[in-house]
Amino acid sequence: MLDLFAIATNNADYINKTFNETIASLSEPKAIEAKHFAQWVESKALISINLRLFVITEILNGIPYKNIHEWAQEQAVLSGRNKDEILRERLKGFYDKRMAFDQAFQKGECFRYGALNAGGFGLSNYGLYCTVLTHNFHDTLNHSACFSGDSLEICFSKSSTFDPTVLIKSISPFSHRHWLATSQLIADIDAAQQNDWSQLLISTDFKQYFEIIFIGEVTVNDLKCVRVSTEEYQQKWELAFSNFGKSLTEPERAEVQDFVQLLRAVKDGKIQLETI
Amino acid sequence: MSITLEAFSPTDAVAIIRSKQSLRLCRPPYKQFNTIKLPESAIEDAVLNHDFHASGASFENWAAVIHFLNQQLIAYRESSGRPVPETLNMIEILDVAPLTVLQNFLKKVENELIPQRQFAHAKNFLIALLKSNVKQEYPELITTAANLLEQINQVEYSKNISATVLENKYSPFKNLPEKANRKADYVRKHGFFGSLEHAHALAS
Repeated sequence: MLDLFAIATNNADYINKTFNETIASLSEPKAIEAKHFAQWVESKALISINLRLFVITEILNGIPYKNIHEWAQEQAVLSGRNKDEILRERLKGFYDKRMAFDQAFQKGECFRYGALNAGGFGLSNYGLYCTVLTHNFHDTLNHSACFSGDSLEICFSKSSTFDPTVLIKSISPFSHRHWLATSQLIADIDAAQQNDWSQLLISTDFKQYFEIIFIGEVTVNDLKCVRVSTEEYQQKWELAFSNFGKSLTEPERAEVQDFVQLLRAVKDGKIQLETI
Repeated sequence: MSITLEAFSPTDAVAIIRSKQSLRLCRPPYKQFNTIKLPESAIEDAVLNHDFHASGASFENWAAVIHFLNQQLIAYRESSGRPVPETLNMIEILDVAPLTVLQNFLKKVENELIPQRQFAHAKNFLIALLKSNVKQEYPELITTAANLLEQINQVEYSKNISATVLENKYSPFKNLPEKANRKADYVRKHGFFGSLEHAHALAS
């Protein structure tokens, strides 16, 4: 079994060396800009996880965020069924891929996944609510690693069989995330305005981003803020307002219930909500 | 028509659906504008990275898919100990609404609901607002809410007055003999096309 975090730690010097070589190859103004970008990533970029509103309300209710294995374990306890059977039922044709990855690494079933985020909605293609974790959370993480792209895609890119070669070469300890990001994005940094740097870390089409794998429980105290688009925020209020004039469907009532709970937590000062 | 549910999220009834060879992300209330076209790779991404449940189930029509998604959502939330409420607490909604949202709601009442005569919707909102804690936090909104309620009452009152006047206009018919009343009914149904004397003449 591979120790993902030990591999990342072993790559630290290589990541540092690559960054220094990249800087050395640039003209002075470009090198200054690149160093500025690296400092910006180090100070501003946090781990974000895009979640469903229901999951956020669970965290607000004191239920830690669960990965798929923890969820299946909980279902197994509740139903008396086998955990593996529950996972197969949920993942169907994708079961083998998930298991091949998770079982290749030590504690792979404890991994949680996030993205490096310095503004914006994160990977919001399915989870519209971007939960940003605190500085303190990542400062206290013992197991965390960062790399460019989607871990599953990287490890299964050449064929349907698991091949971690590229991941093993490119993975960085979380502490070196800013050097990794700068080396990877060097061609784009100069052309981008500083206001758009956050879109370099997570592109609007989600094709470019830096995945973070970590082990650690995410609770309400670890949430810095929840970011959501103004459009989604307004739609939720429209839905809440329509409740005064007509009866809503079950999914609509559930959405408004979750939204009101999030807003209650915002009002009580438990969490910050940012609309962009 | 066959519709395939490729993957879904039971927490919020969002689904990836294949219909007429096209793959789409569909969210409640499942209107056309609410769907996003997806590439084939989206199913795997959604299931492996975004907590969707893989499905592959086929349905005859949209109603059947939506019914299935609703049932999944109800069951999931029940098993999580947070069932979908039968009704939502209106006052609770208003208590967490920021000032700008409340101001927008009041504008909607004034500019949309009252002109469209959606009085029940408007009154439900305004009464809940008056009962909520908004009066302590944003007392300035209460005057606006009370004024809007008064405006609705006036419109409804004048509507009732008009109905009474109309009723009184035909009151002479009430004193006519039975046979005459049948003819007067005809006039009521088909429109008053002459003078009151003419109507009496028809009735006699």
